Amino acid sequence: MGVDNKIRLLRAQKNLTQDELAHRVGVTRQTIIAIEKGKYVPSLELALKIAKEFKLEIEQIFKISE
Amino acid sequence: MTYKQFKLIRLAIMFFIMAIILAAFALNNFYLAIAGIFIGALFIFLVREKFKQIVVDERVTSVAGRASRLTIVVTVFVLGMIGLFFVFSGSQKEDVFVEALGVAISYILLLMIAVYAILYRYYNKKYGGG
Repeated sequence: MGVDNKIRLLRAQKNLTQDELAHRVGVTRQTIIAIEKGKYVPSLELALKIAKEFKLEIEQIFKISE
Repeated sequence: MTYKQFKLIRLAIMFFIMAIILAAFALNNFYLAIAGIFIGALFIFLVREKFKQIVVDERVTSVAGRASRLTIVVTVFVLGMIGLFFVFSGSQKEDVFVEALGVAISYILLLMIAVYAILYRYYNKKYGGG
């Protein structure tokens, strides 16, 4: 059981680079890469920041995968 | 400055510190080693200030935490075995130096475990543990 996310898709829709998103939510680019690949599950605080950045609810970006 | 450049500069500074410490050992100069460490730390601080990007975040902290925990486990096991071996082999062969070395390693190990336990208690309390 892991956590899937739509960050890559949302980023592409907004024409946002990994570096820009990382800067906006206050993490390194490596962390955004790791989250997108599903290798790292962000903290609630970071997930909320990412959701806020895309003006979406957290559940619309992240969901638990079976 | 890109992140890659920052990492390269940081690596170069670490090599500089290592070279200074090796030179200090070769020259038997304690003050040179201390000066090398301080100058290296100062350079790393200045480069970090100049970089102005986030270098440490929650993922880095999480990775460091896991690495530290594993380091403690491995170090305690290895040093514990070495310490015990020195103590017992020293006492069997009546070699005071080897026995004393084993005791010293064991005390260092105990100090490490004590510091870990104290810090664990502190952070556990800070983050809502019982």
